Amino acid sequence: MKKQDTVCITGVGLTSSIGHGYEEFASNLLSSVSGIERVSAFEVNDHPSQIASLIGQIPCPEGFDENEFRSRLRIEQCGIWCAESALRDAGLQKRPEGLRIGLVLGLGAEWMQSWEMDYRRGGRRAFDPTEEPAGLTTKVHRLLDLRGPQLTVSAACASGNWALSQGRRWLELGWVDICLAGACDIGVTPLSLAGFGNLRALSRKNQAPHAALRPFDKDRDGMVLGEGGAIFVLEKTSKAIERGARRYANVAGFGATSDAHHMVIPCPEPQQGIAAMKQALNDAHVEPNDIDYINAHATGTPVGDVCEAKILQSVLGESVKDVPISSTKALTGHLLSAAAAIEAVACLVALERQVTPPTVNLEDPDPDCAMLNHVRNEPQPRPVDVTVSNSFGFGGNNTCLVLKKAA
Amino acid sequence: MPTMNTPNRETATEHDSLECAVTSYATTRLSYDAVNALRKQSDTLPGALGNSVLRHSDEQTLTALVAVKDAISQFETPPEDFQNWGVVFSTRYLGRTAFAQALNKFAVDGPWNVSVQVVPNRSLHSPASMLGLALGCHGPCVGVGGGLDGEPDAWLTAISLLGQQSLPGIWLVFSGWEPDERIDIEGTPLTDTSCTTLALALQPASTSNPTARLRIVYDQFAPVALEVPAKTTAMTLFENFIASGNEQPLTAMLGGGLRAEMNWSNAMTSTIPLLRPIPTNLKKAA
Repeated sequence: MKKQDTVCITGVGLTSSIGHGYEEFASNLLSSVSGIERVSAFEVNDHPSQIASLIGQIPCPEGFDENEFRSRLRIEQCGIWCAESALRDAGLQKRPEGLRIGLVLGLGAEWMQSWEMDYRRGGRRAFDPTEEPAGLTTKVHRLLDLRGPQLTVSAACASGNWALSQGRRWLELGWVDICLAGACDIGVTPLSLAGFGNLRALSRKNQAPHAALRPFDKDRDGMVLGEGGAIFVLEKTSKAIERGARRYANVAGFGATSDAHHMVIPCPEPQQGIAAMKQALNDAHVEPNDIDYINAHATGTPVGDVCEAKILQSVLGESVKDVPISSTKALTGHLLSAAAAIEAVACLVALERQVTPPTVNLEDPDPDCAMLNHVRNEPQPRPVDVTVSNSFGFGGNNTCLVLKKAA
Repeated sequence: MPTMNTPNRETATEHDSLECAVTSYATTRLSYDAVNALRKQSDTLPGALGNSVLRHSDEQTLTALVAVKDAISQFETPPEDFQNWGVVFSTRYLGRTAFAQALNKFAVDGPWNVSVQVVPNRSLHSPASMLGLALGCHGPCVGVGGGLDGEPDAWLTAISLLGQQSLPGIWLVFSGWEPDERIDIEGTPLTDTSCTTLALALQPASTSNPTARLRIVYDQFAPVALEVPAKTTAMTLFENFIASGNEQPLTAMLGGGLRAEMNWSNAMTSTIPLLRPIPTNLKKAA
């Protein structure tokens, strides 16, 4: 591939609590519509945390049999909807024979979620999984008749950034002509709500769902689980221009490191988080003062937000007081494996609408996070050419993704 | 409406192969009881993680720690450390035993007794992270695959990552139960089965003294779709490769017109013996 031939995003498919498509998501994100509510899909009275960001019924893609679609597990519906609508958005629903479209999906707990969903409807897959040997990535690949390689990847809550990075890499290597890349997670299940709740990772502000998730706020008490996904169509810029495709952004840089510190707790001296951000900026040829918006990982946990503030301060240096930073999780919830993917969509919104989305519920910034230039509670119009999205995860996974406005 | 013409294959031929060196390897095959006994033997495994940590680890993670320890002892030129290495770890149905227990316990006791350890230790990323923790790896550590169709993901990711991030090495690990059999509600296998791991140390192609060379090749005649479920695991492919001496390369079809090929290095006159011998039936098959 010619050096100047960058990789760009030409299609977006998503489902989230604040929208099942790009336009709806963008509108609700910038209107600060919260998707967090009390869980009603199953009994939660005995759960420590009783709230989540739920997507409701996932739309059935055009041309699919509604009954067949509804008979599938929700994680499958999520993947199919996101992938199909991304191809449609990119104008690729009808495509030439032989086009090699790859598929990279970030899926952190696909099998556990499938087993639990199946168990709840009377199935036995958890005890005999060979009943269903194909994973979600294979199913989407087959259903959409894709012709390129496929990959399921997990770096816990950083999986979405990984997927975009691998999709870009496959295009650079010439392994695919087009790549679908993104992540899905239907993590709001009785067992995961209980497991995360017992871990004391979840907010217990059950009486005030919209105000519960408070990234960087002094009064934060944990995250709120969310569900959904986002899948992107990636292709070479030269090809996208040639066929007249809409270009949302360029996938410009990626960095990834591991703490090797603890399976849950981030390293209090976050050298590896800093290294991941620096790798991504270096890969994208971006200096701190070039950044127009940072979508922080900030899940609203007491430890994690302070840790990320340290990373941002170290990487940004003097620019820390200037670069607008927000966490959109306060509206979408924490989508776990799919968090980075949905936050990449928030970055596309910033690039397209020339506005920085806010951190809602940020009333009283934690003094340990007060050095940051928070976008508090209201979106801020400003020129946005370069966005950065941090995503960290269990196991000490650190990632950073740089998206640039398509020139 | 934007249109797309049939692409030419110019870019595919420009980058029709990606190569790296295999500098060490090991395989491990343990019974259900043997693998669970490792939870109390932290001091025998890399990183001395502590029995309290291993208590919560998945069986596939524990088996991998044994395999990687064996592989470390087999390097011809051992790396000083693994600080900048990454880990790509393919598992099959990770966490099934613990999750079966959790489902049962939740049904009986409700949410307050759900273990906080299931998600951190039994998710797809967990074995890679645990191995990274044991070896002090600060490079990327990711889980891939997950089902009976997921092993090709590991070959693709490890080799492409090695070239992408200027890493000195990647641990490429395949784990799973062979065969994948039914379990009861306590997570206990209902028939004899072994937890297996293949661990490969991959380094850049320029590394001196490689044991074998691994390439990913684009071949327009290679299959597009994956075989599901895969009839042969990476572990079996590799053990056949070892048993065949220099006669047959290892070939794995990766889908999308890609395949992995492993050949012994020209410089090699003999292979490194496996610490754990290949079962007799496999030798005969090879």
